[in-house]
Amino acid sequence: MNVREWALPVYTILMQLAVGSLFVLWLIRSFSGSRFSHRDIERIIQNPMLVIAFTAVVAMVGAHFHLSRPFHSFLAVLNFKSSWLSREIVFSISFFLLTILLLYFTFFQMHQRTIITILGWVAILIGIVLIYCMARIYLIPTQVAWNSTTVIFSFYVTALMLGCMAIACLLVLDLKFAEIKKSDDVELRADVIRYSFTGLTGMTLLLVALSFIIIYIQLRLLSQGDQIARTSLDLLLQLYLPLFIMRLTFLLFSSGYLGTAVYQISRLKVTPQSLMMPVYISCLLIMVGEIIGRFLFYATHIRVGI
Amino acid sequence: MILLYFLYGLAFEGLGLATYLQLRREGDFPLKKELPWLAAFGIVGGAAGWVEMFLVSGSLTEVENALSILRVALHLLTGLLLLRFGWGMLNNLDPLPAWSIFIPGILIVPIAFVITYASTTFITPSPIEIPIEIWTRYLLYLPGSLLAGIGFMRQWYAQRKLGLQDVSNLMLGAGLAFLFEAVVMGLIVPAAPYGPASYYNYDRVIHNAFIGESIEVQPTYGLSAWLDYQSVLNTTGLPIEIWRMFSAVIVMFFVVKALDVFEAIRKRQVLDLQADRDRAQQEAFEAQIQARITAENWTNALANISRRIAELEHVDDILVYIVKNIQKLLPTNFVGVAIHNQESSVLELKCHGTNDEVRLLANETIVIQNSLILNAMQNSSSYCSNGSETGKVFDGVCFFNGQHAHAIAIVPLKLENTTIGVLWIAHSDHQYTDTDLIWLESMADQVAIAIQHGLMTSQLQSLSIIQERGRIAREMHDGLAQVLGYLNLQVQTLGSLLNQGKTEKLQAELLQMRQAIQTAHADVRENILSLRTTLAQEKGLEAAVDEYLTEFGIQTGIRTRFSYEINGDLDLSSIAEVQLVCILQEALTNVRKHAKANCVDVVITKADHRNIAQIHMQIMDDGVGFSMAGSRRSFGLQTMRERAESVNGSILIQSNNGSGTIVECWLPCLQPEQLQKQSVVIR
Repeated sequence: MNVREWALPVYTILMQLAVGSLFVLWLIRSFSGSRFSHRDIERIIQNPMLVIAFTAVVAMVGAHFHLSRPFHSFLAVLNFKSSWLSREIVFSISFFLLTILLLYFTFFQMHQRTIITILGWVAILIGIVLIYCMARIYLIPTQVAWNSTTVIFSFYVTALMLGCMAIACLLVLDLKFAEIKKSDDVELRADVIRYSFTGLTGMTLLLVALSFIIIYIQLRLLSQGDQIARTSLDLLLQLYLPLFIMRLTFLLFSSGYLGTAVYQISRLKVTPQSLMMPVYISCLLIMVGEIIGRFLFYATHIRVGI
Repeated sequence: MILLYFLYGLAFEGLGLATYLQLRREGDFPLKKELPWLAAFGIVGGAAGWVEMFLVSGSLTEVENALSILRVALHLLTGLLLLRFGWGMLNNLDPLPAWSIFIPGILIVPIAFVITYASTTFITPSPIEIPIEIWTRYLLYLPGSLLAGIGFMRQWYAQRKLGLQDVSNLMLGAGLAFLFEAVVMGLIVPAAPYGPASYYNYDRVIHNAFIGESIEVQPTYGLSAWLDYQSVLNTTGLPIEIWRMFSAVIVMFFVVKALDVFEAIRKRQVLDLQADRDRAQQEAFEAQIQARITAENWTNALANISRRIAELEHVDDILVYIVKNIQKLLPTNFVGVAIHNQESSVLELKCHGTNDEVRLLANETIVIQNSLILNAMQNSSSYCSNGSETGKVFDGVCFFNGQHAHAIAIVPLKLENTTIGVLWIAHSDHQYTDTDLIWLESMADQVAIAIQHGLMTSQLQSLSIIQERGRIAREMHDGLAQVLGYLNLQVQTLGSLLNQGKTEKLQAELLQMRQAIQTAHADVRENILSLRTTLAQEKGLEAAVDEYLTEFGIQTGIRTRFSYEINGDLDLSSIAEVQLVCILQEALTNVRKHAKANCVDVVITKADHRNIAQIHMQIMDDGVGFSMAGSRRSFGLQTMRERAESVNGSILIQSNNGSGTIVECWLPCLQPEQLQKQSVVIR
């Protein structure tokens, strides 16, 4: 694969990362309202919001590189009624703009809690639709390996898994930063981590399990498909077998590593600051695993026809 | 080529060895913790070069596979060691800024993509050693060298800020050497069908994915094959191994030189520290001496003040002495002593000291109105300014010197738990410390003691008069008691004689009784006169003696003449005055009782006697006189002598039978400095 081919995995992965992260962040924000003050929560979500917005920007920029004529990209939105690609682009732009607006409110209009809440959920809804559009692009009969509803589910699982790990990583980095700066909200941030990490880890483990189930279903579908489907399966299990095994190994190892660390936090009363290494390694491995998965998604399809 | 690889390996081994030798130096310099990793990198890198040499030579074909695996492993290990050294250089020598904690988070996505991309290149049909070498260089050598280079750059900046120019230049050299090494060891890689060393055509990815290295590259976006071994050789004319060898030698040179300089700096710093320590010790010693001198000065001053108080010097003189000592021992522009006037309820300045003089305010009244001083008086608490006071808070602190104070220390004067005044010092710029306040409080204690002694001296004079009055009253009581007892017995005797009809004896006893009553009457009248004379001390000696003699003459019928020949003040202490009067009374009592005189003359003059100004009193009568030896009046004479001697005076009595008696008494006058004037402080 060359640069243009890699632009697609960059765009899809980053955009799904942004949507998934926003969803997970908003869940934490909603459920923490009963335990922490609104002002504290709004302060804690600022940095993650900044990262989500930046990720969306990079995704939008990266998306242009998979086009042969990037400066004509605006023409792609003209077929919204008929083209999933146009819809993907429109919803991408909408999500991107909503994220920027949300960022503005989070930093400069912190007191407008209701507006922020509504904006966040609207952006999440747009993001969910965006991921659906992304997946629907590939559901065409000429792309045998892609023409399955498992693609839609795998995209959502990827988004949520990356979102869980990204938010976990950001919360721990923020805590470490606050500790270095001797900030007065170190304990608050540690409390948020203690409160939310069990849920995050549980969700991650569940999503990893779902990933395995989806992979199994995809393999079964390919094995039961036509010649082209079986050729794709052969590519996956022969040429790309090392990568496939790497993906599965990374998913398993990272979920186990993270689960163990969070268990120690909850049972042995180890400080949340000690989560930094396990969270970072797990996040990196899951990200590598999902990028490998996306590479395999693109590398194993055999096009029918021209 | 074999020679090239040998030299290549030798250069890295040299780097490792030289670094290892630096580890054996004494001292704790900043780079020491990270040197083991650099030494290991050099040694393992050199070993990898020599393994390459054996592989290229083809002399060990039987172990060629093992050597290939060894080479790969050594290559990986070298990269890991370099990465660890670079991380240590960047992070462990100086703490990174707090925001750098986010860098791993920001880079996690690019790192994940790079790892994934690297992983995908391993499934190419090309030999596995090529992607291993390429990604080892990209993912280990390149970041390791960059981190080390940046770390040395930070050290360059830090040493420059410390002013260590020689060390900073070497740090810069080492940093640039590592950045050069990042290029030659981390960026220049074998040719491969993937970027960035070579660019792989887009069209071929569909059908000829990962076929091999012999693909003809078709550049897109203007990129062409670069940063591989062939392009370096074509550009520079030297193989990449030469450049890598150069980079190892340059790194070794700068690192070793930097450590030499660190050693020199360390020694210099040790010498500087020793000099600082010696200087600090010397300063501490001098400070101790100075503190001891200060304490001795204060002790001497307080001892001298206490001595003056014990010697009953005048309280005003003691106060002036105290103020002068305060001026000597504390930095002051003004010293003030103010006493509370109970009648007018104001605080009046009594004594002050400026740079020019120390003075008592005898004839002028200055009322203190400064709030700080008044508060200290009311709250009975010390106060010391701390430099934060501004403006008019120091108004009314200094007088007579035209200076404005910017610092003040105030201490209340306490006498038997009552605040009677304040003592304060002021300065135009020196801020007083708690130690100064403590010393001032000790001076205030001395002022209070001096005032207390002054009050007690006044009370002592009154006490002498009261004691004398008490003595006279006791004498009168004893005398009357005796006479009444005698009369009681005599009445009983008279009763017996009457019953016995012894009329002549009865008349004789009655005559005796009459004489006794007359004598007792005269004694009582004399004692009463003495009491009245003692009480009349406020009128002055001349008036008191004149009145006494007049009354004496009336009571006794003896003619009296009195001559007071002193012009000006008597200059006697109050106790001496009292004793003079008592001596006169005693002498006149003797005249009344024993002299049978018709006339008595009393003369009081002032003259020099034995070179000292003395009061001379002469009592002369024309009575019967007496023999000095065995006289019945010896007890009274002894009393007069004791009274005179108690005030450093003397008595001379001249008498002969039939020729009257002369009693002369000399009492020394007070010296000019002892004259009992009224105190300014105690009024």
